[in-house]
Amino acid sequence: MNPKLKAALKEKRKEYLDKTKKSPQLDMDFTTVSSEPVDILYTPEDVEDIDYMADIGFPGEYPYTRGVHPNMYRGKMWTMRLFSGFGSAKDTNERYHYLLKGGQTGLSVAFDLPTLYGVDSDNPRAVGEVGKCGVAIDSIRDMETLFRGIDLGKITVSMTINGPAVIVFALFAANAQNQGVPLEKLGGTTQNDILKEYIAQKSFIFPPEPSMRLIADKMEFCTKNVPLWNTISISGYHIREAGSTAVQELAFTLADGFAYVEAGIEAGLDIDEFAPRLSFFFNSHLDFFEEICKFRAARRIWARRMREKYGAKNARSWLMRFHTQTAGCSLTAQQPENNIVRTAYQGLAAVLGGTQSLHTNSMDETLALPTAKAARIALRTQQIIAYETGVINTVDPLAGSYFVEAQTKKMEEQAEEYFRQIDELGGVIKAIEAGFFAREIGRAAYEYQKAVERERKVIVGVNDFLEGNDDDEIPTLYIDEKVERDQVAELKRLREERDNGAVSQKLETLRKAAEGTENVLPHLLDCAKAGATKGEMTDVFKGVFGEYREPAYF
Amino acid sequence: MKKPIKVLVAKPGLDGHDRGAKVVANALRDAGMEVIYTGLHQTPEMIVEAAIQEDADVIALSILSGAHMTLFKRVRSLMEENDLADVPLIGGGIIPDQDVGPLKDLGVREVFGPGTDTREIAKFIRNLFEENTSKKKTG
Amino acid sequence: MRDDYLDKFFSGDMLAAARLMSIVERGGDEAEGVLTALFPRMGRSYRIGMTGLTGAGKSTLVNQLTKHYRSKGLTVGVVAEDPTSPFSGGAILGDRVRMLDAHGDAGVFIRSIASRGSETGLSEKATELADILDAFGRDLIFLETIGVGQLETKIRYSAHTTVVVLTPDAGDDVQSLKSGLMEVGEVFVVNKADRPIAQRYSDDLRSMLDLRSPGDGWQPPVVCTVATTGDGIDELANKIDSHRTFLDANGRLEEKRFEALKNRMRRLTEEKLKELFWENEYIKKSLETALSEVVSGNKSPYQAADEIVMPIKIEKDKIEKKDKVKGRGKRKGGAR
Repeated sequence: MNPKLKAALKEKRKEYLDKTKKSPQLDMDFTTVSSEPVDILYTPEDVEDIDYMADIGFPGEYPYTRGVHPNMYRGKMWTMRLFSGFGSAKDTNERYHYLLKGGQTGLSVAFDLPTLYGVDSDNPRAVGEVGKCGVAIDSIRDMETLFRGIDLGKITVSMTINGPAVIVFALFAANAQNQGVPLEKLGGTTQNDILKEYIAQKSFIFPPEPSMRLIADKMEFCTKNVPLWNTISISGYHIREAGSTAVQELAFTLADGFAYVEAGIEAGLDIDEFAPRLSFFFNSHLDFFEEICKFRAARRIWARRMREKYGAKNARSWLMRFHTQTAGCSLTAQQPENNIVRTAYQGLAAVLGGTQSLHTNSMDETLALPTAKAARIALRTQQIIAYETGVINTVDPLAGSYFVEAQTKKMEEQAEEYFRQIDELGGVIKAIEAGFFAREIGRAAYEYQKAVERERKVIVGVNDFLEGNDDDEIPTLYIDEKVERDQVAELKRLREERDNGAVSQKLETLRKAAEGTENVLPHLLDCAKAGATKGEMTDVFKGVFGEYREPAYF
Repeated sequence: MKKPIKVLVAKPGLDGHDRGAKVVANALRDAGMEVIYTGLHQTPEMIVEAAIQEDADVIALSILSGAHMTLFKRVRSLMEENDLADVPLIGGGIIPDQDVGPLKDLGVREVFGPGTDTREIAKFIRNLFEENTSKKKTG
Repeated sequence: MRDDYLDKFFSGDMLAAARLMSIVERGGDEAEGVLTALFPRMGRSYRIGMTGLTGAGKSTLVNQLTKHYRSKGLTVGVVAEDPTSPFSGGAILGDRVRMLDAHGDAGVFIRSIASRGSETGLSEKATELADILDAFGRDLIFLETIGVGQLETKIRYSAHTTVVVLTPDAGDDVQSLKSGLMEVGEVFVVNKADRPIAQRYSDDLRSMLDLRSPGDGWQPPVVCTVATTGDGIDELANKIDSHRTFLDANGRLEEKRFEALKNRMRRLTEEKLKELFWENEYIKKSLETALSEVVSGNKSPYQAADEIVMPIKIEKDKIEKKDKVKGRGKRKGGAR
């Protein structure tokens, strides 16, 4: 900046700030959802240190602050992908057809808790949980039902599965092969992000080290055989839902990403072969600008580290593609229709932040799984953003805003500070074992709750504007207990009908692979095709790897 | 010194969403209670065993998995089998309105949904406890 | 109510044991009644104290040791203490989470306790809860202190073997350990020994312990463990057992029990004396009178305190005179 202009700005800014102090001010904390202070005004002074070409650049070019594709949504609209699954495979299949007919462009499977934990529907630990939080999938037969009438060679499928990710992926891929879709045509994502399970979501099964080995196996197998598959979706979503701040979500997610990259390199893989298949998954919370800046900072940090620290040479390794889900934890059970409005702003922030795919929550998700109508409104919300608001006409429209650029840079710096702390603890796994993440997130969650209770943060319908709370009933989805009974009966039939000798033999081969260093994926595919259940395959791994139990950190 | 109220906070079932349980544990501690936190993935048997050994004054369960009807029912019947019928059982999490009545019929004293002020939970427990001790005294 | 619980307690009812523990935690006459009723059954269990810094892995080690001893057929009791918040008086007791391997096993009884203002690593109440588990017939009792890492010396009166748990954390060296912690340890554990610096850390610890000449002939061993995987647990149990054998063989176990009882009687007597003293109307009044004289500058606080305790001094002189008349031999004998 030229010194004359700089001096004039400084003078003027001082004068302005004096003026603001004499003007009336509301009794509110002018902070973000994450309790970060925000200045009353940003000026060229705040972006003085930012070099446009080096720090911001052009869309589709390093460091990708403005987006990963040159023409962004003019070239390809984000994938509208609603996370959905409930009851039986048949129930969920019907919902998929309904959403596809409504204009959805990708599928995203929500599994029930027994599936997320690798226990079969007839396991005593599954009692009461079957089909409740998602769809119950026990074997290849359920996968067949789940995707009946859907061409898996044409649509991409995202699966939120982590602990038993390799197992469920095997069931999925084996079914696709049975349907005549070759592996190299299979497109989609398995979340497969075990680190954030220990950090936030807590649906882990095995201890961290063998879990990382399974992930490395999957990266290797997919790199060679399923080239269109995103092997890991490194997820900040759950970290945020567990109560983290935006910066914590940003920093912890990227730290996990670096840990996977390091694991891949250690496993002897070429970074430029596997890194392009890593994708990310973020939360979009209510603080509009904080979220947009978070997305922009994330892309920049990832590109820089991949190129500068890990020496990736392929431009596709540098760019961060991500899916976004609006913040479930921001929704209220009170006056649930208001959630439509919250979700719309969150979806808009994700789009202005350059997301590649988006899930918008349904208004009823604090009450139960979404009804068909609530899910449809959520999908329509995205379509309205895409086709009515005009925000897609120009790429990264907020770039150059003094506030947005200054905030993006600040979040990048705050994330770097967290990386330093994690490094000091000896890396992500050591930090997990030391309870670092759990404590940081737990503290942030409790501080947030206290701020709400002290009414320093206003939540409409919760601590203010309560009129209407009494007549806020909306219809909710109810999962009948019959789902569980039927699923258990199905499982019984499977165990009777399949060739049990062949199943045991395949499971035994799987065990040997797990005990040694051979890639487990081909054996999982064999087991899946022979009719082995996810619980049986998980039990083989439990026998070899043991189970993880989390100490509680406060 | 007045004996602090002892609350067992547990997460039964398979869901790993412990944000609420931990926030409540912190809040009850700050309200002067002693909270025994037993963590995630507890079976009803584990919860009742802990309640016995710790002689909890109140049992508080957090469930977001949709399995609340099954799990509360099981915990409640184990409590009855083990002479803990007098110990108040409360719950929180994602529990649809239509299930709250049936849960109360099972003997769940109160159900706290999303957006509940934690001070309200502390107050409810304190009232329960005072009511319970005064009953013991007269009875 | 109490007698009801006592009957059930004697027939092995866990809930009754737990309720008696709560009565003891509340303190007062009722608590003393319970402890007196159970006293004849105490003194049979072997007590292992687990102390060390916060986050060292004490609870996870207790979990592993419990599994070990259960496989040998011994019953186990655990008393785990966590700190009370000085601000609210509340506490989060989270040790149990790390001890869940034993769930469903009636041979394991775990009880959490909040420190409730006690400044030592192990409160008197925790020891009393251990007494109840002792009377309940537990073969082994683990006493886990809060992880303050200071003022741990009291544990020596509550435990027969005191295990000090340390971790090889980067930046900390053995020299920085509190000497109180070093002196109290009979077995040292370097937990999280899968960290690269563990070897050097345990070597340093060993050479530091070698410099000390053990007063009683027991050289504290150092064991490396990884509590989360169970590595080193058998060896740790081995060392605990050797210490027990050592104590047994040298009559030290009896001495320890004697010391513990003596310490407790001293404490109880002091407490009762304090209570009696400050409740006394005459004393209350003389405190007030003395205080006003100190405030007005007529007396120093020392003179005033002398005056307040004067009645006790007079009583004491009287008793001593009587004793002299009765002969010295008896007094000497009474102190044994």
